[in-house]
Amino acid sequence: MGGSYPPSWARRVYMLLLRIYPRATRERFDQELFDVFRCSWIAKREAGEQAVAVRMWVRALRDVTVNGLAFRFRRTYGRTHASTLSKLRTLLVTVRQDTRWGLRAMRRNPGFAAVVIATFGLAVGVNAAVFSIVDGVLFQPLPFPESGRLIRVWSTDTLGVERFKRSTFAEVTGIGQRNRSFSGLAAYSMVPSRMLDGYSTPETVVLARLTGDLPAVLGAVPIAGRTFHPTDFQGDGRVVMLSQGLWQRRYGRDPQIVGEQVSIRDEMLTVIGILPETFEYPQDAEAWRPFPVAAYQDDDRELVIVARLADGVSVAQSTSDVRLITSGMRNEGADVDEVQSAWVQPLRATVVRDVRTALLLLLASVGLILLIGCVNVANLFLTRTSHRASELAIRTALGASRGRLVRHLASEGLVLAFFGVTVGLFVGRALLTVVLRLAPASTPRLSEVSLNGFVVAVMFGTVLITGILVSALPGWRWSRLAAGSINVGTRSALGVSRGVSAHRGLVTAEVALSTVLVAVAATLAGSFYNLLSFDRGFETESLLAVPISIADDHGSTQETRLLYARALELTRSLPGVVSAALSFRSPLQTTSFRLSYRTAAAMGDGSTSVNPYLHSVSPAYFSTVKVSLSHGRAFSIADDVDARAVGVINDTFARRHFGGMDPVGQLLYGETGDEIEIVGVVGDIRPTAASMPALVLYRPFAQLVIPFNYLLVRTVTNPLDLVPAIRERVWSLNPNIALDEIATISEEVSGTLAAPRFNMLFVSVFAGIALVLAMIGVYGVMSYTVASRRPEWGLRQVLGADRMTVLRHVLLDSLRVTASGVGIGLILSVAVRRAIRSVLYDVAPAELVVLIAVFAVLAGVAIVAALIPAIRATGVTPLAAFRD
Amino acid sequence: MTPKRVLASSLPLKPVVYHILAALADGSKHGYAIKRDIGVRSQNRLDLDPGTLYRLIARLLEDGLVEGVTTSPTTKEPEDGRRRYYRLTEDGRAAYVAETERMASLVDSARADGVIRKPRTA
Repeated sequence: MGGSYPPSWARRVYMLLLRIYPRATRERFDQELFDVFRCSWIAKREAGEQAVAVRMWVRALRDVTVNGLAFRFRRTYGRTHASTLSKLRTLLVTVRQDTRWGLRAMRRNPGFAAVVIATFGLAVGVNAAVFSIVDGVLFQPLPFPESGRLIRVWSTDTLGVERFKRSTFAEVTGIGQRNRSFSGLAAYSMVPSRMLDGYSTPETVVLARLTGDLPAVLGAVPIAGRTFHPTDFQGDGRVVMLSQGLWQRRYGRDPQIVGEQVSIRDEMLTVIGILPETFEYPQDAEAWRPFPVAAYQDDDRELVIVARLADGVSVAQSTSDVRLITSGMRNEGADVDEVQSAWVQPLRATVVRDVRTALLLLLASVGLILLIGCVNVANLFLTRTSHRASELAIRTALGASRGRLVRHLASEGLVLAFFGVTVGLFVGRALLTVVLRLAPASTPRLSEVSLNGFVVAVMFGTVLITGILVSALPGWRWSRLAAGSINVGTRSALGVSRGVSAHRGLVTAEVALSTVLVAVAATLAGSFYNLLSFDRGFETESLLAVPISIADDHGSTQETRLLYARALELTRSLPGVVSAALSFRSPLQTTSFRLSYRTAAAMGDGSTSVNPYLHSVSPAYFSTVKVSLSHGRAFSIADDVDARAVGVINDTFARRHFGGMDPVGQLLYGETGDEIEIVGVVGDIRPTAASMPALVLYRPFAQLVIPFNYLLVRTVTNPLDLVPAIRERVWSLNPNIALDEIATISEEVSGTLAAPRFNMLFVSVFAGIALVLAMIGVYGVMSYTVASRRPEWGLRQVLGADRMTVLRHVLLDSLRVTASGVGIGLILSVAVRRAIRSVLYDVAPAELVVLIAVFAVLAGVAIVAALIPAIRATGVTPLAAFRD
Repeated sequence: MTPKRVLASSLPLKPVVYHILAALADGSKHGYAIKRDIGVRSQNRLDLDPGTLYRLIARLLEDGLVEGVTTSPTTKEPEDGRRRYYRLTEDGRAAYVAETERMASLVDSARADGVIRKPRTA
C-alpha cells in the first residue's frame, strides 16, 4: 500500500481540534481519541469506502466540537446541569405545544385575532416601507468602494461660519496641492450644455467639468471603454465619459460610440467610456470631461470639491488641515473673495442633506404609529385577559403554575404578532412601491431603496417582543390576583379599578401620540396651503418655457442675436400664442450671474457696490410673464445694441438701494466704466415661498446676448399643444438648435411643490391611521368601563337619572380620558413643530388655529368612539343590572 | 454486593451505555475494540465517533461502573503500551445484569401479552 493513512500530519490536526476539550480531559484521553480515530480511518479505507478522508474529517470536526463542548459545559455547570441540553429539547417541545395552543386560541376568537393582526399589519406595513426608504437613503453607505472615506469640502462665510458654500478656483488649487489629508481630490462644476452628434436631435445635457479624476476618487469603474488618464487633465482634455442613462437613451447602448466624437458646448470631444448607473454623482450629471483649470481663473464660487480621506485621517483632522491651508493662503496675500476658510463634511451627509429632515419626520410619524398600534394591542389584551380572570383563577386553583399560565398567554400574543408582522411585511412591500412612485424625483438615492433583511429583522424583533410583552404582562397581573382570591372570577372591585386605571393610562398615551401626529399633519397642511396660495409675483398658468440653445461659448454674437430674433418672431406668429419673449432664465430661476455696480450715491460716499443678478430679457418679457411694472417703462425694440445702455430693476433693488428716491433716470456704474440708466422698476418674483427676493437687474436681450436662453410663450390654449409647432419652426431655421425638456411653468411650479406635497400627503395619511387606531383604543376602554360598571347604571336610574344623564355621563367620561391625552400631545407637538421648521413654509411654530382644530378633531373622535358604549349604558335596566 | 445507589441512579441505562457495558462483559478492551464490538453487536447501526465514545467512558469511570487498566488484556490483541484498557467493575457488571434482566422481563411480559409470538433462541 503506497503512502500511509491517515497522513502523517493528521495527528497534529486532530490534536489541534482537541483544543476544544478542557485541558484535563484532553490530557487524559487525547492519545486514545486519536487512536480510535486512526483505527476507524484504516478500517474504512480497507473496507473500500469512498472519500474516506473527507468523511473522516467532517465527522471528526462535528464529533470533537459537540463532545468537547459537552465536557466544557459539564466542567462549568457540574453534573446536575449537564442535562441542560435535554432540557432545551424539552423546552422546544413545550414551545411547539404553546404555539399550537396559541393557534387554537386564535381560532376560538377570530374577531380579536383579526383586530390584533390588522393593527400590527398596518403599523408594520407603514414602518417597513418608510424604514426601507430611510435606511436606503440616509443610512446605507453610498454605492462606492469605502464610501465612508469620501468627503466634500465646503467654504465658510466671511466670518468663518461653516456654510454650504462652493469653492473658488484658487481654493481648489491650494487645497489640492497642499493637503495632507486626502488620497485623491477632484473638483467639478456643472453646466447645461448642448450636445450634437449624428445620432439624434440636439439636446441639452448636464456636463460636469472636472479638475481631477472624479471617477477615480469615487472608485467608479466604467462599464465600457476606459476611465480618464492623468494626461487627459493636462492640455485641453478633449475627452468625455457618458452616463449609462445617456448611453441607453441616445445611443441604444451601442458600444461603438466609445471612440466616436461628439460635440458638446461646440467642442468636439472623444467618448472614452461609459460610467455605470450607480455612478450617480453629481446627481443629474450625464457627461463628465476634464476641464482645463485655466478656464476657472476667476473668483466665482462654482466649484464643488470631492475627496477621499487618506488612511487614518478623520473628518475633523482634515477640517483642521484645510482650515490651515486656507488661512495660510490668506496670510500669503490671497484676496478675501478668492479664499475663505473651509470645512469638511462626509459625502453621504451632503448628498442627503436636503431630504434628511423630511425623511426623519416620516420615520418619526410611522414610529408613532407603531407605538400607538402596540398600545392598542396592549389595551385589547388587557381587556381580554380581565374577561378571562375567572378562567385563569380556576386554572390556578387546579394547579397550573403561574409561569405556565403566563407562557400560554404569551404564546397567543406571539402567534398573533407573528401573523401581524408577516401580513405587515407584505403590506410594506406594496406600500413601498407606491411611496417610491410618489416620492419627489429630486430625492437622492431612491434607486438604492429596497425592503432589505435589516428592515425585516427589525420589524420582526420589535413586534414579536411587543406581542409577548402585551400578552404576558396582563396575564402576570391577573394570575397574581387569581392566586390570591378565586373570587376574582366575579370581578372584585379591586380588579376592576386596577383594570380601568391601566386602560386609561394606555389610552391617554395613545391619544397623546395621535395628537402629535395630527398636529404635525395639520401644520404641514397649513404650510402646503400657504405654498399653493402664495403669490409668486407673476402669472404661472398657460406659460411655456422652452430651453433654447443656439450656440454655446463660441457663437458669434451678431449671428446668434439674429437667429434668436427670428426664432422668437416665428414662435410669436404661431396661432394660439398671445405673446412670446426670450429670457436668460425661466421666471422660476432667480439666480444668475452677478456683476458689480455702484449707484451715484455710493460713488459719492465711497460705500460698497451692489451685486445684482443679471437677467437678459427681450422687450415683451414683462408682459409675457405678467410681472407688474411698478414704475417707469419696460424695454422696447428701440433699446438695441447701438442705443443707450438701459436696465430695469426689481422692487427689492429699488427699496434697498434707492430708499425713498425715484430710481428711474438714475445711473448704475459698472466696474469697466460702463453706465446703465434705470428706466423702470418691476415687481419681485419669488419662485418659492422659502426664497427671499433677490436683487435683480434686467437688461435688454439686444444689449446683453447670452447663448443659452428660455423661450417663454404665453398661450390661450394648453401650452403643450404648441410644442410640435414650435420645434418645427425653430428647427426650420437651423436643425442644430437644441430644444429640450419643454415644460409649462405650472408643471415646474408643481415640481417645486412635489416634496412638500409628498410630506403633507404621507404625514396626513399616517395621522389618519393614528386617529383610527386611537378611536379603536378609546372605544375599547369606554366599552370596558361601561361594561364593568353595569350595576352603577342601574343604580343611577333607580335613583332618578334619566337616559340622557347616563349618556352624558359616559360621553363626558370619554372626553376626560381623551382631554389629558390631547393636552400632553399638544405640548409635545409644539416641541415637534420646532424640530420640523425646515420643512415648513410661513407657518409659525405654534399657530392657535391649528391647535384648536386638533383639539376639536380629537374631541370628536372621543365622542364618536364612546357613543356605542354610552348607548349601551343607557340600555341597562335597573333589574338587569342587579341580576348580574 | 448490591450497589443500590448506583443502580437506582443509572437504570434504565441508555442503549449506547448498555452496549459499552456489554462489550466489556467478556473481558477488558481498549477504545477501538469497544467501538468495533458495538458495531458488530448492533449490526453496524451504531458507529460511535471517538468523542462520543470517550464522553460515555468518562461518565462510566466517574460513576464507578468501569475502570481503566494499563496491563494485559485477556483478548488475543498483541499488547500495546500506548493503549489503555477498560473493564467492568462489580457495580458495572451488576448494572449490566440488572438492565439485561429488566429488559428480559419486559420481553417476557410482552410475550405473555401475546405481542411477540415465539421465543427466539439466541
